[in-house]
Amino acid sequence: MRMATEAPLVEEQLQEETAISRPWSVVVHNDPVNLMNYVTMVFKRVFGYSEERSRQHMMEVHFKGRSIVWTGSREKAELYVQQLHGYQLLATLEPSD
Amino acid sequence: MRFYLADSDHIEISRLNLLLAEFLRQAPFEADPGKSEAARDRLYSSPMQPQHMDPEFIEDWHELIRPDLEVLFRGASEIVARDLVGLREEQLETGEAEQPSFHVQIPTKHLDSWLSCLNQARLVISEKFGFTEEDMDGRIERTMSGKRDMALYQVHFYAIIQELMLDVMRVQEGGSSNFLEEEESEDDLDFEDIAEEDEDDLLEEDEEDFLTDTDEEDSGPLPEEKGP
Repeated sequence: MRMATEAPLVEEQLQEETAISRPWSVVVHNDPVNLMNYVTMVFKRVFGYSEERSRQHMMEVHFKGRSIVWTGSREKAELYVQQLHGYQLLATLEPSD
Repeated sequence: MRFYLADSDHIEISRLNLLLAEFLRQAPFEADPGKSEAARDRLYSSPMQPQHMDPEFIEDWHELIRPDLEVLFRGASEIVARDLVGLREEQLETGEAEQPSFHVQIPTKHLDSWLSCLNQARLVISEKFGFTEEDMDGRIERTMSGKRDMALYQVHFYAIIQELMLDVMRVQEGGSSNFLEEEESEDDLDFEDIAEEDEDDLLEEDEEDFLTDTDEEDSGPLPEEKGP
């Protein structure tokens, strides 16, 4: 009986740990208003990317509609999305494929 | 319009005609989404797309993060509003200008706030008028009619100021300017021509019409001043 009641709890804990440990992506979406130079500056500021890398992500947002700008822990992804929202960028987080 | 580094700590925007000065003065108020749900939704967009929605996370976001963003955005507008107290009519030499001309000095340490405020204003105005990618990419038409055209002109003007401020920040961080000629001093970012056509001629034709409400269909005053 002890083993039977413990099994669901362990499974729940495993699921939660898996959800936390799986990588999450920060995605920036295109919008017609934000300036390209502004978006580039934001990427440099928030992620510390070089001018070249920031510009590449900006161009990807502009031409493809979205760009995965960072992947890593969920906690950090949430923080980055918050920072990007602080610059009025359209940003979301999603589980990484 | 002139835009230049007055000294190491200030930029100056001068030779602003009445319309552009009014646009600038209105920026902190335009940044406020007010009752526009579309504008609010844009400024405070969801951190997750529908297919990945986590209701608990979204609830926490609305409770904890959104108030912080509101404070951040409002703070930027308040700094800009305080700087704009110094927006004044400038004394030009006799014969230099027939119309009133305005200028303002902005501390370079406030440029982040200005970028934020102007960006908010552009987003809010765009949502209120439903501007598309085509509107944002298009040229400013020579003849403007009505509030929508004037709002689009306002959004484009704010974009120009943002680009100039970004350029100053880039130079200050050791980068190169997108606007300065090689032989010019980096202390004199002088941006005389905003559009391909003569800005002053364009405004002489349309500013008077707009300010005196001659358009019967879309008549209305400039946006009313709202308190912070």
